[in-house]
Amino acid sequence: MAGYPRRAPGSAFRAVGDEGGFVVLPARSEVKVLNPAGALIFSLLDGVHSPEQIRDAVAQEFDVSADQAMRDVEVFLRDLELHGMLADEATSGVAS
Amino acid sequence: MTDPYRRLLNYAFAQAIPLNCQIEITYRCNHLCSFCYNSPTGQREMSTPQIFEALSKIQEFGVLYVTLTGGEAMCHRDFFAIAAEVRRLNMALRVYTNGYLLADKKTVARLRALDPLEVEVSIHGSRPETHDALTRIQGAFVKTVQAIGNLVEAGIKVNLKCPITQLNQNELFEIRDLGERFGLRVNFDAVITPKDDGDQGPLALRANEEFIRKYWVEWYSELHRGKLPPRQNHCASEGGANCGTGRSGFTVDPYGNILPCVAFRRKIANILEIESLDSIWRTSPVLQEVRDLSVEARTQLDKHPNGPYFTFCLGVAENQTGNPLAVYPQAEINAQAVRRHYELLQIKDPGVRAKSA
Repeated sequence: MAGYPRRAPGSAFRAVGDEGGFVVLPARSEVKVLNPAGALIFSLLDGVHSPEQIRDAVAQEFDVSADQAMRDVEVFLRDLELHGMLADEATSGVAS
Repeated sequence: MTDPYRRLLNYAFAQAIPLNCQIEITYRCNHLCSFCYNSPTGQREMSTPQIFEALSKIQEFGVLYVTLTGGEAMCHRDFFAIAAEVRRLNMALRVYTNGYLLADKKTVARLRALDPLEVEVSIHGSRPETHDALTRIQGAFVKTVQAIGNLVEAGIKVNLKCPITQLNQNELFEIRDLGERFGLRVNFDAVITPKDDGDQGPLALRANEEFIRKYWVEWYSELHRGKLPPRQNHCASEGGANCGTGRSGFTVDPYGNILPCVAFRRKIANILEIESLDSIWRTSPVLQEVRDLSVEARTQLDKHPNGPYFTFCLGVAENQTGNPLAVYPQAEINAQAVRRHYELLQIKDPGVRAKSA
């Protein structure tokens, strides 16, 4: 997985306790709901955290293996991309 | 089974995690609506840098939706800078407006560039004579209708809102049809409120009782294309409270005062004088009292014969009667009529549903 993933520009995100989170995509007039794992991952899509760092956070929080966490992160990121919730690679930041 | 969106919303409501903030960025307005509830005090309004400071605190607090309102929000000379700041802070932007300044396509294009989530436009009649009489601005109707067209054409989500008054009560179907010409639904509001300072003047314009009863019993579903009348406040959720005041959101007035909601205007604090919203949200005695009152209101309404049919506003109750828990006449009339609507359709008392849930 290349780069440091970042949320779609202009998207608004709010974690709701430990229960999940809302993502608003104003350009599409859509509101998405994330489960707790999704909310954790989404909160880390800041162009600073690498997929490996996100994997480690998921593995620690949800007590799953690193391999399982990586697979979950990859699937989730692909879903986000499909739903327009991820910045394009070209606009995605790379941590310095 | 509750859908995930509703479930998460219910959780946020129960835990008083606010998702919304309305900011009245100015009391200035280019209309002179005779039923307007605003009551400017003559204090100095927040400067633009102060509004930016407020927005920063609101963003740090985790608010998802910011609504810019007024007065007429677009009359603020820095409206676009403020709206852009909302978006720069990655909060979703809503705008409440009379639409007058959006008759200009270039202005609409500037707004479109900010990706607003939605724009709510007030429409007061189906004809210029009615709309202009209520707004007391000649030519307002033409501009508002032009604005609606411009917004729709630009691909911006638009909500139309119409407070029902004596002057427009006989043209609600035509107002609905006007909205539908643009592919839009109109949200009619049967409650006209006193001014924020308690002046009851606007109530003289409210639709008469006979009309309101017919509106709920006979016309509501037809007017709303088969929709049933609401049986609870639009901002209510599961969890025992009557509404979302001081819970699902809050309001900031042009002076920076934080209020539990746009209708219940008890000052919590001034946003420019606090370190953070976190520092007051769980500890403010005003907020705690308001939340308790909202639960108490629901408990009392549940004992009322028409309880399951009430849409009840604590702010209106306090403003009209001095007691936030007192059932004010408009709420009572509405509840009776909504109950009648459901009885005619032989729909079971929702109280039964609530108890079994």
